[in-house]
Amino acid sequence: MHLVPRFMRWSALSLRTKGLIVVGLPVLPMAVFWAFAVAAVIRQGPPANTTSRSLIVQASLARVFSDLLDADAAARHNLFTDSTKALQRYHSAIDRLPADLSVLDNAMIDPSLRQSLLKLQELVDEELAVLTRLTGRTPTELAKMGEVEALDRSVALLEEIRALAGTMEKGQASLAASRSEQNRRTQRMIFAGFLVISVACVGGGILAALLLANSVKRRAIVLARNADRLAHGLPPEPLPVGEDEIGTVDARLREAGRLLTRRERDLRDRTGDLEQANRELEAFAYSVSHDLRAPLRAIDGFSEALESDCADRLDNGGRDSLRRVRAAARRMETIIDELLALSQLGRVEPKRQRVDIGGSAAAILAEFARRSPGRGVDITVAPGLMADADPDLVHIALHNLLDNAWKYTGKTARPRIEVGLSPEGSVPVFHVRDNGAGFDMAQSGKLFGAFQRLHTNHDFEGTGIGLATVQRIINRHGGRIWAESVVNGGATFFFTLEPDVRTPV
Amino acid sequence: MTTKQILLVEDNPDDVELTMRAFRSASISHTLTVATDGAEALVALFGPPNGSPPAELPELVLLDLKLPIFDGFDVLRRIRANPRTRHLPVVILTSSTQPEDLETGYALGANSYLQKPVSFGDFLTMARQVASYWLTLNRPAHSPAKARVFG
Repeated sequence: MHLVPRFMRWSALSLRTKGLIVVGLPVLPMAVFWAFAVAAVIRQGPPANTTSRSLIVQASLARVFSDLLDADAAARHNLFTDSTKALQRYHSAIDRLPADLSVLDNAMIDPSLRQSLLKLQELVDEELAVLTRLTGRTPTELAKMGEVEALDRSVALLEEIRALAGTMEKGQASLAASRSEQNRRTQRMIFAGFLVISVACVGGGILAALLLANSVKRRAIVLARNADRLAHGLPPEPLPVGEDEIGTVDARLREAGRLLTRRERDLRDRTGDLEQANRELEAFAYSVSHDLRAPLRAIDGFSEALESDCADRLDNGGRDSLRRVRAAARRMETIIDELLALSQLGRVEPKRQRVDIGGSAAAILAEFARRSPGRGVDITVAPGLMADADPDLVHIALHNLLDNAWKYTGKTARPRIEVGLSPEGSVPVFHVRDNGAGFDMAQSGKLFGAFQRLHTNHDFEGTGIGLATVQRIINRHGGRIWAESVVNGGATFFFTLEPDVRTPV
Repeated sequence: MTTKQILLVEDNPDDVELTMRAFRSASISHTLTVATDGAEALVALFGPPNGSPPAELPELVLLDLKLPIFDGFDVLRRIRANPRTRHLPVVILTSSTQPEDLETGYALGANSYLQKPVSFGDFLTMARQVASYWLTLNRPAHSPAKARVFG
């Protein structure tokens, strides 16, 4: 068994999942990378801020220092001259200080520099305290109180503050420099990472797509070949493993092939049975025609012998009976011939060629007219009646149809027969029309059945096989035949000689 | 001088009788020798199995196809295979309407293929035509009897 669980095997995945993987493979890492990149940029903050802050720090440090310097100078001036103006300058310098310190406090947000800021605050506070001791006094008072050393102390504090401010300024500047360096490094890294990841993702995506395409193509080819093999009745080849949609299609195809093979076998069996039955039927028809002919010949021959040998012993009635016997034998011969012809129509395949329907019909009618002069039938054959059909079979069909028309107009006052093309249907519809006895449309269902007759032999002679033969011939051509009639108003037989595509099967 | 003869190979007694009547009506003077199956036809033509062949051959063979023992085609094949009988006129006289039978008949060397008509009148006409064509117009010029007379 497979060591990898089923849902993790590539071959067990559906095409949909495979497609998602192929698309997701390059997109997913790219998305993760972008998430990290955006997070890094956000964490770092806007790069320009650090630099501008260091400038603010530098300026405000300078102002704080100059405020203190001004205050110190003004205090000293006031001490020695007791100038009111100097005292005013001192106070204005002290007043400026909180605002400048506050700007510094806002600008120096980096935790590593906050410590120095506190220290600066301490020093400034101490300096202010020292300067307070110097103001509003005379040097004498100062000496008396023993606070002359405050003058030195102020100078020392200012020196200390200057040094601290320098350190702070440098710290802030180096922080800004390192920040911008870090920014550049991050940018380079993001760019390089983007490049690497992009190349990897696109490459991986192409590779995965190729793998998928290849596996689909390989199996689709086998699938197509299998369809061909099934169509030719060959067993299908095994499909390379896979449980996706292609595998499902293959399984269905195999099942369809199995069903097809079985049905084909059934059909072959049935066709074999049918062919056997057909052969037997033909053998039967042949043997009937052969075996019935000999007794008929004997009936006719010996009737003739009786007629000529015993002429003196037969009266009129006897001779009439013999004549009827011989006529019946002749009729039976016709039936046998037509039946045999009908049975043989089943195995002929129409050999189609250009047939002049009109010419053929005219020739047949001319022959009828020659055989029975004095009938005086008005004949109309439309010009240009052509068809692609078997000339021999069409001749037999036309002969039968025209023979009927000729026969059933036998008792009509002004007999008329017309052969033409009806303007309907997608394929040519030919017709044979007469104004003879016609038939009852209610009986039209029986029209084309073998041995079905709609007239008695007393009215019109016939075997009942003619129209069955015509229908058989039309059917062999894939055509249709139908008729319209009015009793004593004539009949029209319509027929086509090719399949009508619009006719539902 | 022996009478000239026609060999009729026919198993149906009615047809034998009708053929005889037709030939009589057509005033054909030849003797009609009848063989009722293929084996009898072969004896009439080639003699009994261990005996000598008959002195006289018929001038015409009328051959039915559906016969017991050997059928008409077998008889025709033997006639055409033997140098002595190779030139005998053979007319197939049958009820068969199968196109295959007609083709086989001519392929095996039949001189004519006639379908027996049902009507006795037509049958009589056919007998007259056969006699005038094969017994009068196309008498075998090299019959052994004649060769002896002139030779």
